[in-house]
Amino acid sequence: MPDQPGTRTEPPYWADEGRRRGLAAWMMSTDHKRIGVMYLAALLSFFSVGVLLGFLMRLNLLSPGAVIKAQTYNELFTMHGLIQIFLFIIPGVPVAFGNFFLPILIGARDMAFPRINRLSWWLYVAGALIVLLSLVIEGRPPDTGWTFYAPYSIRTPASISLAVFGVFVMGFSSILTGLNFVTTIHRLRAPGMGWFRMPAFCWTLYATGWVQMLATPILAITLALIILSRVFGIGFFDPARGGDPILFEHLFWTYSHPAVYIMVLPAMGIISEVVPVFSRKSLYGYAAVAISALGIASIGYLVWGHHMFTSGMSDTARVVFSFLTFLVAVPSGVKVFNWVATLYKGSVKLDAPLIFALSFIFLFSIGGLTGLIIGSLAPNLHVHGTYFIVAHFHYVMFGGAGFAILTALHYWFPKMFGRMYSERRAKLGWLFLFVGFQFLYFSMFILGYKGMPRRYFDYPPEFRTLNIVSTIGSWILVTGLVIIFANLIRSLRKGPRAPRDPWGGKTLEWRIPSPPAAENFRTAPVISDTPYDYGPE
Amino acid sequence: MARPSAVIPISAEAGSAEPARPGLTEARGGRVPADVMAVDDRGAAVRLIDLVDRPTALALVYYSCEHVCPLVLGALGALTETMDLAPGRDYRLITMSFDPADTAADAATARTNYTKPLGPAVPDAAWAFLTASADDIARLTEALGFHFERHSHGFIHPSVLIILEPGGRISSYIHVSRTSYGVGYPVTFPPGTLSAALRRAASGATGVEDAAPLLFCYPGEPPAQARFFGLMTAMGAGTLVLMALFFVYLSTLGKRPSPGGGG
Repeated sequence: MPDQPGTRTEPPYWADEGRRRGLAAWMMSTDHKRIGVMYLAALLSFFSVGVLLGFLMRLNLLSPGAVIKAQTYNELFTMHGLIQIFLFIIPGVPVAFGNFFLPILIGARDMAFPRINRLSWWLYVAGALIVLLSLVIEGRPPDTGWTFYAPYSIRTPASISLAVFGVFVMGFSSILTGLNFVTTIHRLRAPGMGWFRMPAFCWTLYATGWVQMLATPILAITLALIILSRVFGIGFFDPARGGDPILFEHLFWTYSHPAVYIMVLPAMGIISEVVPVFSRKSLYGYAAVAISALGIASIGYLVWGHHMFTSGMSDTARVVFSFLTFLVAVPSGVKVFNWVATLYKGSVKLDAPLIFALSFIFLFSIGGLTGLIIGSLAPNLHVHGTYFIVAHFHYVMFGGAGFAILTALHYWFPKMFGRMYSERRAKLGWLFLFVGFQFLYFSMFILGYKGMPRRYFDYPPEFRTLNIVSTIGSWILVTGLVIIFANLIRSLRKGPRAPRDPWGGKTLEWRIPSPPAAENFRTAPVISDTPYDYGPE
Repeated sequence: MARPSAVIPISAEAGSAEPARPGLTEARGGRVPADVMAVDDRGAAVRLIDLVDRPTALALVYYSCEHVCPLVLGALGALTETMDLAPGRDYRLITMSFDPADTAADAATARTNYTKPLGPAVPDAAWAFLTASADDIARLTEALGFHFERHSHGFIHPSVLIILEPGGRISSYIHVSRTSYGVGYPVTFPPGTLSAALRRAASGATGVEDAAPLLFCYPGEPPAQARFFGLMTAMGAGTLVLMALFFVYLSTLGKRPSPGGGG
């Protein structure tokens, strides 16, 4: 049977055992937990850079031109998008929490391919460094927006080739991670752990893994074509040479829309773990939650055209894309319904992880429902390219995936680092973050509806008040983030030691010590029940 | 009457010695040829010049267009509501297709689409929707300096309003532009600009060249795209097959204990 509560005979996973010590031991490690922690550290570092860039953008919009020049602003929003999307939120949940917890949750000792896992990590680091290098060498920093739309991305003197190459390299990291997760889930489940006994988080990682393998190559090819266009002058996307810029948009969004589900599916998985634990109830409609992950992953593949309703498309295509966009909302709605139904009549304990999870449900619902407004053909013409879109995707990505990462941090922090954090400070930080978030992004909905275009450095006087509100919101939000991370970082050393199962969780990670030992389980666990066994209701 | 020296190719294969590139050569002070005949949206033959009995804004479009032409016509309709001149009384609008394949029925559909929402403020006589034969189109567009080119999925042509004086003299051109001041999204005309141009035409004065950049209506279907798309399809299908095989492989293999034994 698994280890006894509170006893520790083996050293934690971070104790060096091999011939290497220190940084080398970490970088050469194939332990999924070490790799997950390294990813987490890298992700959060990039996230803070991205937040800083966004903060500066908002500062400019408080008084356009006072601090930041127009060209600098273009570079700021490009790097903000590049970093937050490609360096932080697409790898996001799977590489950090997926790596750390997937093998534990299914009762395995490591990934199916531990060395490929390490290769993924190296590729990610290499790609991220290349992207950051584009800031300082070969002309000026990228200024195309994170979408690299042709033909501007082919003509701008900025260092697009390097940035694009960095994203290309990270793409391979993503593909290999997907391959590893899918194989691990197929092959390494513990005895007795059937498909429908896996925790819901594993289902979302499984669906995500397939999307990563299928969609990322399209991005890789598209980015390679951009590089070929820039270096060799091949006119794939240049109308003057017989190419088609619209084709770039199609190829880009064929990846980048599924990428939204790469971000948000595992985020939903985290919420599906946290909600049952803090309401002391089984996950309502477990099978529906599991299947809806696959539903989102497969339909999410076919909706990319909704990014291009105004780019020139036949009405038939527009109607089909719009319909599929509405369809993909159904499994997302199923999940929201199931989380709420899980809370219903549960013994709800409002600890920090649940507060973040509830915020996710609230913010993601706003993001999802406004997505339907954008996905309808007629309103889309009105709000396309405005701040309404910016508000929508910040509600989905930050309010959704970002809050899920914060949920996971507060839920699994005791397990990952063996320490507890201050509940009071976590809740205080949440309060600032949540309030600041509404000021910052909800005002963008109104701005966009009134017609303020996105990516602009300046605006007419009638948009001033709401821009001030939004910028003040960014200050409140950053204050919240500082409190949250200061609390967690302080707790790494000063927090009280975490017990094996601080929340009363039932999944496998709570049956092993905090922090886990290098090989997770002394003896392979045998599973004989559903993952959320809270007894009869 | 065929004109062998025509410099405006109606279709790619009809290109003579030196086909003009799509574009606009302003012919201010020139005249609409008196013998250009057109067909209105009820199928009746009309002499174009007869319709130009008051200041007129002429828009050259093709009715099957899915690009800029519908935006121009929509903006023109919107102008009738914002301008301080009365359509039909102070000025006339003429929409003329330069695609000889367009029929009176297409013109009638266009009329319904663009005038119905405007209601009785714009009487039928105020806005003509015309088609014409290839020969008439060639003579008219040559006189107006309007050069277009047939493409695989439509036409490449400049988007412009041509302001005519009563009697058919060309007064000025108003470029459809996305970048000039006051032009909104997707296409709107500043009402002051058009009413000033119409007033000038009424007084018989010739305008100056429009400095705004010219917007082209461009169907943009690159010739090699089909092959490129075929290649992408093949690669996509290959990837899907590969993934399906991978799934079958993973599902049919027996499960293996965790690395490092145990159990």
